[in-house]
Amino acid sequence: MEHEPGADEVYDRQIRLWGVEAQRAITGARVLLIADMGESLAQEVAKNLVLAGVGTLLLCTHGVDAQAATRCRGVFGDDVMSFVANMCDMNPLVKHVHSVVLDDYFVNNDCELGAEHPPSVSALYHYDRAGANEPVAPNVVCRVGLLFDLVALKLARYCRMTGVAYMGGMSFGPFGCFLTDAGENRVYSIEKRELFKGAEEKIFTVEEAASFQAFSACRDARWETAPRRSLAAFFVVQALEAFEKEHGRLPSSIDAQHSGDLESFRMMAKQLAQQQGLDDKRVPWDTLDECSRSAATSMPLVSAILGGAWAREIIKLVTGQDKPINNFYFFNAKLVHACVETIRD
Amino acid sequence: MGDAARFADVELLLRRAGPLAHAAFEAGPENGAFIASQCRVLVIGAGGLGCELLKDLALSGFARIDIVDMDVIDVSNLNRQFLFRAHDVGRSKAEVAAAFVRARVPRCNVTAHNADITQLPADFYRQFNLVVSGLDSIDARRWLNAFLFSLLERDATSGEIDPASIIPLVDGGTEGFLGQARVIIPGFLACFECTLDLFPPQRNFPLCTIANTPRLPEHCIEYAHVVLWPDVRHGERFDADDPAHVQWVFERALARATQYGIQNVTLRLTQGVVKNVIPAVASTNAVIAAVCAHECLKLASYLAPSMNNYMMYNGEAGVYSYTYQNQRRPDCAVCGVPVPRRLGISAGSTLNELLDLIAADAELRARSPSLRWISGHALYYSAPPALHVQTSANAERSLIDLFRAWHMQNGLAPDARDAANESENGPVVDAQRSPPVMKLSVADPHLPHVREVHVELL
Repeated sequence: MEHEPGADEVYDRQIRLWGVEAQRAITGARVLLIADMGESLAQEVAKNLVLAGVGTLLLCTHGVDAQAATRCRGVFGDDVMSFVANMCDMNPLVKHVHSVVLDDYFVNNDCELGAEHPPSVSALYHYDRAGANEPVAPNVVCRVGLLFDLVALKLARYCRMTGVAYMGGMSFGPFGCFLTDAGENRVYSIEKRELFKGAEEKIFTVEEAASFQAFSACRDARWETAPRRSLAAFFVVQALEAFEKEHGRLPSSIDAQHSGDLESFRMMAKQLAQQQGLDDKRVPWDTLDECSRSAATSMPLVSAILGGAWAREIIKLVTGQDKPINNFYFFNAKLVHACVETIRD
Repeated sequence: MGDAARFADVELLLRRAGPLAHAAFEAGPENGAFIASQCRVLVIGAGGLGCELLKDLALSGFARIDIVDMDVIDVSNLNRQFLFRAHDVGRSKAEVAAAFVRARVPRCNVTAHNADITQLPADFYRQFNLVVSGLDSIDARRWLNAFLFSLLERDATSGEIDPASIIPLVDGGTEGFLGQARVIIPGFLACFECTLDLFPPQRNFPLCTIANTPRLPEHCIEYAHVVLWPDVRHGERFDADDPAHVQWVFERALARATQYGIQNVTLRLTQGVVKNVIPAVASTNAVIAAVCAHECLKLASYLAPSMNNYMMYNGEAGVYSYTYQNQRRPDCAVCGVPVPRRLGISAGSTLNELLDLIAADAELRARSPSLRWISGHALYYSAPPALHVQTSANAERSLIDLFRAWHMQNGLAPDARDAANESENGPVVDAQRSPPVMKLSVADPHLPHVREVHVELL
């Protein structure tokens, strides 16, 4: 007779890291992941959350091209349904991994950005577990894609209003980033160690609180007041979003038909830097040039690194343990380095 | 010449004449062809890092991968070693991992080896262009590092390394939320042994604390494990995987803890201590494995310069170090010319206390040391049992006693100098100097080479 391993056995190694209470919080957690599930970044985040034991994971496929949105590359199946099946198989202790298709309501609707309860979002938000009667809000909503497009800003605003943490992230060529809004008053605990003379160190927990900026405030961040040592990586995101807005796609000069992107992206970045008050000397031109080449390319390894770091942050928010990154994380695969900065208006 | 420039030269050397040489050494589609058809990668370990590595390498286009692991799957692996399922428990890690990836990525050939890396012949390793390791112990890494160095071939006259004999090593390690990755090109720049003192020594609880003055629950557990078990259940080998054995230790640890008013002895802690369990989570392994796979990709193509040569990741805070270059040690035991390790200890200390000092030393890390005088005379053997029995009585004697006894045994006055017993670093026993210095050689199953140690008796 096959022995079904219990949570204590399977999660033993991570319980030793964060404790039984945190594991309970993870098991009871609900995470919404809105993404093109064919993208390796979304798959990596989902995989790490399922392995950690996140109790309910809702994968919301959203993409303009419905066909492309359901096609998956990777080791976990060729389409969303088989990806979901593989996730359930990978960790049978996670009872709820579901996939829904989010319609183009956000793209096509005539709903103002200020509208309080966009119907699609609230229906998704309060997705009922089979058998459950009570609608339950998620702990964290994550969106893989542009940080400041219409969909993202609506989601971010709705989450902030309802006290739910929102994270937006994407990978572009050899770079990747995510931005977090965990609300105006996010409480968390951290471990402090003190060495007492003659005895072992004493470990005790302390509660702290942090305040996060809203996404809309970050989008318009100006650079005059940014710290001197800032790498201005966030400017790269602002430039990419501006390019996408104008051209309907990310730059990709390695593609023969878009060979003009190098020049046009540079020009746009120069203009934007002036507008946003960023000194030309501080603009990260190397990173921008690389983006103009390959921003539209997906690199599985960059997604894996970003997916690991992102999943770690989601776990911090779900368990309330350890200080969450406030608020911007940018990974550069060319330097093999990540920077963490606070973006504020 | 700057170190960065030097590293670039090494890479060029590897590509033109070394294991990564292929027709085109400019960035281009030929590089993709090399990776997809010819490049052979060896993945060491099919655990937390190994599973992620295999997936990453397969999805990056590597098509000829070998994976080695001698362990079988345990239920506690399932929270991160995602190529395994509950029904795989008990089966070979390497075989199950390889089968999973072969099935999902048909163009990728993965060959499994259910074997001990130290038992595979040199010719096995020589097949590979690259080695990437996701090992879980410092000892295993030291062995691998020293072994790849031993494969280097030098020109008889010029002493120059033959580039074709260099096998680059990408090494990753994780523990809880912490992780690190590095690139080692044997013969160039820092090796693993050069930076051994970066790792804090393994947490060994001193025997006297365990026996006389326990303060922590771990002390009570170790007491039951290393003192009571051999005493009460002598002859019976303690098996950390046997729940009944662990339960026995737990109960006695609890009793001892009660006696000393110590809290928090639990079954989980007991298991952790006796099995030396390291906490582990998927996200850290995902990050480090991908960093390593990325280095493999860079080494095998012209994508970007390799990491030069070490980085660290802290998932607790979410921060990374900048890549920095470890300094090569001229006196490194593997890649340099070793000098004697100098230690100091009070003359009245016992040999046992010296053995503890040697075991705790960040540079030596000799946990089961055997000591001989430089002259070759035996002082103490940890193993094999026959020699251990002959020398174990020395363990309780004071060092100054042993020092004097050696002189008397060898018919020497304390200040005598005997040319036959001189090491190239001077006389065996520097009795004229104050304080006296014992010159010993230390051997250990975990040390790649015998080390000379000079112990100053203070």
